[in-house]
Amino acid sequence: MSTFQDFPIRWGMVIDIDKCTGCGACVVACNKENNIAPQENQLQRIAGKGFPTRFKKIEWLTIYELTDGSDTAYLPRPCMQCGMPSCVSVCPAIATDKNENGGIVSQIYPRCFGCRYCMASCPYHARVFNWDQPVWPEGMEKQLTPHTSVRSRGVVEKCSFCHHRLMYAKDAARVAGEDPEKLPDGAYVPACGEVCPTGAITFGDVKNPEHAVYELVRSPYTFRLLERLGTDPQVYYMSKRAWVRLQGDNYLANEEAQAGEGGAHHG
Amino acid sequence: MNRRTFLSFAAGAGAGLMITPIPWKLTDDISIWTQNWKWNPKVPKRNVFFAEMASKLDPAGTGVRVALVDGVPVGLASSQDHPLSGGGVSALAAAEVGLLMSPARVRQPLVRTEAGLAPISWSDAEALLAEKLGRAEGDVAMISGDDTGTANEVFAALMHRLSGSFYMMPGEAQSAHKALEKLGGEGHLAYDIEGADYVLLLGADALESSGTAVRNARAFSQSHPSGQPATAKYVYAGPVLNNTAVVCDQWIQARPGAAASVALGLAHALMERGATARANGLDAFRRDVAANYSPARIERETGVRADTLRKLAAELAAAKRPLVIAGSEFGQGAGARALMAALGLNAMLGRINVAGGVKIVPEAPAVVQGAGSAASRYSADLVPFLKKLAEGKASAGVLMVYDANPAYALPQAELMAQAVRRAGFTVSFSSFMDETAELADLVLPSSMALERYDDVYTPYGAGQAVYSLNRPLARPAFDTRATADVLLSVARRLDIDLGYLAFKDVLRAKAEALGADWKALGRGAVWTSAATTELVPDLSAAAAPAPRAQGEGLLALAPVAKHNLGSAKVALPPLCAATVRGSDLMVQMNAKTARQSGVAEGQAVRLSGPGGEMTARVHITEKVMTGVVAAPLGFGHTAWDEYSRGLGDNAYKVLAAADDPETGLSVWSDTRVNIATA
Amino acid sequence: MVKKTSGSGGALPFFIGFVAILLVGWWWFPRVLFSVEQQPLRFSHLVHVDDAGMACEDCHYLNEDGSFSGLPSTESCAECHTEAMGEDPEEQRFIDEYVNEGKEVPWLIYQDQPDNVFFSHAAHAAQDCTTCHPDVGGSDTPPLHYRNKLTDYSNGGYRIVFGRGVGVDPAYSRGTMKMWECERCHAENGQSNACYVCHR
Repeated sequence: MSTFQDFPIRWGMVIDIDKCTGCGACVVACNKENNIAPQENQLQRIAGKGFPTRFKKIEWLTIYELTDGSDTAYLPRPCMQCGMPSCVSVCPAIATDKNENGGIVSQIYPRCFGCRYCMASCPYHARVFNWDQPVWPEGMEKQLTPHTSVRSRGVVEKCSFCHHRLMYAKDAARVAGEDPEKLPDGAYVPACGEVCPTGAITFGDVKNPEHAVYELVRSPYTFRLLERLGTDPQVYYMSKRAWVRLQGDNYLANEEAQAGEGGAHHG
Repeated sequence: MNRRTFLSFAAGAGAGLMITPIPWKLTDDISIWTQNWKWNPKVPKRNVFFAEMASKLDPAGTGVRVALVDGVPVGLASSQDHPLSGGGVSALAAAEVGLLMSPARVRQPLVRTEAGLAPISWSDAEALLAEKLGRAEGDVAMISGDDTGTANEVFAALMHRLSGSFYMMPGEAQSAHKALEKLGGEGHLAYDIEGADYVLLLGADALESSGTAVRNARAFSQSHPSGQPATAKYVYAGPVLNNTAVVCDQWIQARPGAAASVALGLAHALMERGATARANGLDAFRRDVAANYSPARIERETGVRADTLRKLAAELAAAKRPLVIAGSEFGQGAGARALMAALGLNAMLGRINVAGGVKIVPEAPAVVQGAGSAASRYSADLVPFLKKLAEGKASAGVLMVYDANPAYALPQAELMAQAVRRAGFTVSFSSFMDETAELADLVLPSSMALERYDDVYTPYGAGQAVYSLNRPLARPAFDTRATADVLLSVARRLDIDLGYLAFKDVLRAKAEALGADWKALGRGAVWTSAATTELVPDLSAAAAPAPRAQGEGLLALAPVAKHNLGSAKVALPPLCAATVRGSDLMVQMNAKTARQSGVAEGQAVRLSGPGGEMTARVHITEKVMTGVVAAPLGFGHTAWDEYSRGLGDNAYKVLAAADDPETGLSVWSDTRVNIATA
Repeated sequence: MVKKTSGSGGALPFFIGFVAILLVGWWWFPRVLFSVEQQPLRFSHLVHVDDAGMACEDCHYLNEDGSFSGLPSTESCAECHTEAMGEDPEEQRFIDEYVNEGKEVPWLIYQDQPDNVFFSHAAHAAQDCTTCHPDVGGSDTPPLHYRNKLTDYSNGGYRIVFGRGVGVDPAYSRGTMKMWECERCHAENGQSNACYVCHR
């Protein structure tokens, strides 16, 4: 049973869709940082069906292409780190939980036994399953980062907002004699936000007025995905285009006017 | 001993077992064992250190910080202070570290035997190359794809001493040098994009694959703060809503290769409003523009409506600091015309030699005798030479290829591969087993940028002179060497003294010549200079009519370059394989074009153009203008590794180059193709 | 006449089985479960602390970025040991096999943790090192390293299989700490026991 979790710090990511070019730098950086094996190119599937599938692909951050028939936009979708995570409420092994200050939903690989109930539960398809043993070409396993453990076949994984970077930032604060619970803006930024060439991704504590995201989440252009499900995501999107904001949920025709005005409900 | 005794014994053992550690410890240990499967690779435990590097793989020359654990590069972080990155990292640069151990890497020198490529030692390989070069007696050619490195000076100087020819791979940098030369200038074209309040991109994919894309993206980011009104307007004119256009404030649909025409059409519209330029050759320029680039004609030829053109001209005139950047939509093939026309337009807007406009950055001083100037190194046109070589009309006793893949990434790719085969003795210095290396007689693998000394001077599009030095950050993963060092050594075997013992000394001389601090450079500092050269352009040739489109087909072909899929030099990096979408592999057109061509979504088709054919499936999207079919670049590899080999088809095959005697650079940015169901 | 056999088999076999399994469980099992290894070099803390007058922080310190230096690299040892400073053959072996070859010494870690664990020395800087680590600061030879063959976990310097507690028994193994030990200390000190605090 998952109840709404509130912590003194709330790590939030604001993605400005109007600045996302779909270049994929965020995905590549995320994959390298978090020890995700290179994905096979699905040649046989493409030869047969004409296009690859996301089903067996391991990536924590997926970029969706949105269109309204004439205009196009790109939407990168990490784990929403929901304030009320449906995945946490269904995990039989408590391999995932939302119990840390900051609100990042943890995913502990040794504890997960791969029932995939969380995957069925997540409305954002943010979780991926290791159907096969990840394979690194010979030599590439020497370039693993110390940041995350390597996952085995049979385990679910998901974006962690590069939680290891939060730990490193806190340690740096401790050594500098500062308060690790009061990190300044920019001390902790996930890999995707760090590399984005157009700066589409902003990250910080949405409860802290000194962080840039504090103002951004209060913008009239800000919206969240599938808000009406009550998941209270910690990932916010911004767009000056009404049609993009309408992609945030399955709106009926008579609801569109009010939805197009934007304004995220932030916890 | 009978059964009951045994059972009694067993019961005693069973009871005793419960008060030994065995069942409890074993259960605990087995559960731990299941959490740490031994067949999973272990991660390193030591600390991460960062070292600065300028990406050589990414033409944007992005500065990055390489994360190292125990001397092994494990990742990349952004470099906030580097002027060419400002904290951003492109998809290609992000994959560069992972390419170090890519399965496609050539692990040692190889020589061609009857049975294929076989290992050879470095000393034998150098001796073989020296022998071939000595016997060639001037019938030597070298191709380099490195647009920013001082290594070219070593190569060009060696060619000069051997009386051979030196070619740079065609691209934006070559086009820029040629355009500047035609207009009476010399040096590097620099765009002060951070200072502009209106940026018009004609074809040039400036936020993704053209010029200093990461820096441009940063400038775009600064001028478009999230949720606030933008402080600059970015307009993209081109046939496809590519990664650049999708974030620009306005997309103007213009046919492929139309950059020059649109620029001159805008010049026409400005002239209608009475604008003039501080330039020479104005009469010839005005005459050509008035005669050939009326808005009505532009509308017919490029698809840009006359009223749109006039409105655009009005906006440019009203802007305080407009900047026009033109180029090829896919990084090569526009020749010099687009840039010449854009310079003419910038001159008409008064944007040359001013803040927020176009500036000329001086060439770096040459430090190797006989290397010539950068402009001279860019002057030879590679594609016609390779065409002649393929057709038997030219010869190359020895053909050396560095940091380039001409057998794949040039128009009429299959013919280019023929040329590589026909050369007497082909040497590839590629780090990877690419299409050219697979055809080579000798493969002398170059160490990657992480593993060698190298430098980056002012990539095309940089706003000022920028110089970065790369030290080796990791021991070479395989038996590879820096090519400049190899050729210095080969030169010595031929009794040619280029003046330096090792390439590191060449770089030290370069740093000194620039007035840069070698030690600071070694620590990752970047040398910059705001010094510019004045240019009063000679516009007499800037508006001369362009060659006609190549091919007789009904649809215009728009090749699209996306750097997460690889580039002209590198196939899809294994780490980027996750970013390939289904539609990336497909040729794309809008609904109207599909109806007119009689094709449906997902249908397998064949595109035939002047250079050859390619097969793909069709994807219908409104991201492409009517009458145009967009084809992805970077697929259809036949070499490399399992991540890229056999995926899709090579769009370069369809393109064919046309001579442009006016500029001396062939063009292939306007290609017509036919589409048929396959 | 049916020969009457004894009812249950007798008390003796039961007793024999009982004692036998106790021996197997307490004597044979630890011997077989753990492999005993020596450190690759006989590093003497005593020589460095007493004779050379070094402090712990000279080799084991917190970096500016918050990470812990851990065990010194061959490079940092080579700052003094480019040539033999004493007469010990082990030192010469260090110089020959590691400094001159540019190799890292494959030290066996007593407090080794698996990949999925995150530990921050910076967060625990207020604790005494010997709370979790064997007290090697005054030793002339490093303790033997006992490694569990099934899990690859270290059992510190002892072959004890039961009865380990933090700060309870000074003679306990100080090997790879299990989760409950960290959790208990966290709970006692009001620190968070959220999963991500210790896992990655």
